[in-house]
Amino acid sequence: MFGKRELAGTLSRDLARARNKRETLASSVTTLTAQIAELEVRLSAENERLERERAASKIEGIKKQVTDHYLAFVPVIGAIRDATEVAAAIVPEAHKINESLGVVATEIANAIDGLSVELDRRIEAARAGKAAPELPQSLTRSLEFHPAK
Amino acid sequence: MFGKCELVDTLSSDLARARNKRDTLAACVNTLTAQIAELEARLSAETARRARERAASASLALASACRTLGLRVGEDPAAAWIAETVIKFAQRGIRDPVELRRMTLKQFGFYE
Repeated sequence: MFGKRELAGTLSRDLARARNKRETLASSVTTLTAQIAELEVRLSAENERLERERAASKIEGIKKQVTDHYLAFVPVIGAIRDATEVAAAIVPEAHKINESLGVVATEIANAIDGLSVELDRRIEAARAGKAAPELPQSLTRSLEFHPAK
Repeated sequence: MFGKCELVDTLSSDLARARNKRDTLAACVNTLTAQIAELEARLSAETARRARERAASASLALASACRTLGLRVGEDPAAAWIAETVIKFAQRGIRDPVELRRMTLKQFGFYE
């Protein structure tokens, strides 16, 4: 008789213990789920930041290419102007070429300055997360470095 | 740059660890839920069995007490008083039919 009563008591105790344990574990699962959500948000933010940083670095590389090529172009124009100046002593019309080269050089310098400012603005925007991190393919392709053959 | 990648790696490994831990705990919760269902079923069966046993014990005690007093269950009105007394003692937790019978008879001044 007592054995039978004990069985119900044991079952009730086991049940209470199992329920407590399950509640504790379920609470841990809830806590972990919240932590996972937080980690996912942080990871996503970090990935986005890295992506923006990559985009900014890419634009910086493009800007460097533009500047390097421009810097290579300046002495070439200077040399051509020097040569046409010499040629003008023989062919007076060469003065016109010299003047044209000056205008072209100034226009290119202004355009390059404007482009640099715009690229800086894009770099800043990319780092601040204000611009889409993906660069247009046409822009990246058109400004790729092509070494002189 | 490496520091930035390390942060992503750290976050990714923390995330993987947390997901694994959660999955493990969720599996434990499922196992416990199944165990709880089983325990509930066993406890319910045990409770029903005890209720049947109590009813059988009371029935046996009533029949025996009525026989001793020369009453017929269901026919003699006095048998209803005996039944009420048996039920009263059974509700107090007396399960043994012999003890139930003895106490019921004692209640009516019948000592063995």
